[in-house]
Formats: sequence, C-alpha cells, structure tokens
Amino acid sequence: MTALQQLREGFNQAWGRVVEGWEQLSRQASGAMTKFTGGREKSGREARELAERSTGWGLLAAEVFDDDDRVVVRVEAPGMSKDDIQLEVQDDFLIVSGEKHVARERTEGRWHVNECAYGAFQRVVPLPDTVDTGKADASYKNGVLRVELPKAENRRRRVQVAVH
Amino acid sequence: MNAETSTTMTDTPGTTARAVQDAMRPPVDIFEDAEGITLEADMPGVSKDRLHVQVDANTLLIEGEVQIDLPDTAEAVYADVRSTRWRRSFTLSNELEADKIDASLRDGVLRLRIPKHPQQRPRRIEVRATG
Repeated sequence: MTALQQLREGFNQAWGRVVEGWEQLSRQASGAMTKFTGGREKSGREARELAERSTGWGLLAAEVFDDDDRVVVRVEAPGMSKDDIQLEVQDDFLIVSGEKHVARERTEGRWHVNECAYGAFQRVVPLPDTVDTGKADASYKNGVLRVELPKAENRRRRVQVAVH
Repeated sequence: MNAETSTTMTDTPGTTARAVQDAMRPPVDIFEDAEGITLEADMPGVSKDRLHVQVDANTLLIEGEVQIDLPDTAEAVYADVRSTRWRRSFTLSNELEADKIDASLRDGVLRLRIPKHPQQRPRRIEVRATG
C-alpha cells in the first residue's frame, strides 16, 4: 500500500466517520473506531441478522509498543476465532483484517440492546520502524490479538557510536 | 411471545462515567426470550481471574481488569486504549432470578444468562443501565 493510498483510505475513513459515526464519534475516541461491513457473500438470512445486530461501528482499540529490538502491536478484537484474523505487513503498516461472526440464538426471542459490532473489518496500524516480517509472531488470547514484529537488523533505531 | 413481555433499557448518558473515572464501559448485546435474558459484553483483555460479576440487591455489576504483559523498556508509541478497567452496571427487575446467573467468559466476551422466575415469565421485565 502506497503512502498515497494510505492517505486516501484515511481520508475516506475520516469522511465515513463524519457522515455515519457522528454520534459515536462525539462520545468515543475516534482513533479506535473501526467500520464493520458485511464482509464476504452471505445468505439472505445471515445478511439480515447482521444488519439487525451490528451497530456497524466498533471500537477496535490498538496499541503499538516500541521496544529496543521489536515492535509489539496489541489489538482488542473480542469474540473472534483466530482463524478469522488475517495479518499482513505492507511497507511500515500492519494490516489486521478479520470477521466477527454473529453467534446464533436458537431460542425465540428478541434483541433489546445491540452495541457490539459484527462483520468484516480492517484496521491499518502504522509501525514505528521497519520490521522483519519473516520472524513475526502473533497470538490471540482473551479477545486480544498480540503481534510481535522483530525490527529489521539493519534498521534498528539505536545505533551504537563509539566516541574516541 | 406474549405481547406484554418487554424489556426496557435506558442508557444513562456519559456523564455518569465521571463517577468511576478511568473505567471503560463495555458495549453489550442483550437478548430476551421466554425463559430469561442473555447479556453479552465485549471485555477484551480480561482473564477469568480478573473478572468480577456481582449482584447486590437488584444491581448487576460487571468489572474486569485488563492485563498487558510487556517489558518495562517498551514504550507506547500509539494507544487507543484509555484505561485498563472495564466496568458497567445494570438494574435488574424482580422478575429475574439474580441468584441464578450463569456466567462464562470466552475470547474477551462475557456472557451472562439470567433466568426469569418461572411464575413470572410472561410478565414485564425491566433492565436499566445505571452506568
């Protein structure tokens, strides 16, 4: 993803937030807001259920930590299966994509409150340094995705300079 | 379903959050059927031993502490997370059997099942958010 595309995407997201997410935007920190969409093809029933239940906007809070030799990214993505999460590094961005499925209620009844978001999402997280993607490691625990990305050998930020 | 059966939930505006600063309100889904209510709350980062579910009189309180394992040398360069605590409370009506709540936690989602009293199942239920 080029910087320009990144910028465009950022702009589109920002615009989408203004148009659709205004109420939530005024309540919540905007950085964590992630648009949840319908995702891949679905049966009519699934699509209807998703439309009924999803708020469309979710808080997918992310944190980026810069350690000496690695970058650690933490993304809160509750209620997912690790098979539903895809990770990709493009340039200095970590792209987290996934889909949160609607859990089906077997009993007859109705929903009264629907605040949780469902559907497909993508979150682009800027990385503070160039990383070695070959040594990346990811885990999913308690609804939190944690990605450890060792910094590329020749791009470590702290360079020892001998003083004579 | 009986037309009389209905659940109301009035969301208190964000002002009440000031009472418990630095705690985040987990988003919830609430589903009602003839036998009771199912509540699902997104509380990512909370493990079972740091989860607290309590019923005091008719107030249901859900609380959780987020654990972030990182070395001291790590420096946060970007963070959406504003707190490491989740907290939210609800008022349960008498029709719900608060002492029979069943709780489970999986992948950061807390799921509570609160049954209705058998003799009161067709009647009106009220769940009101208090913070």
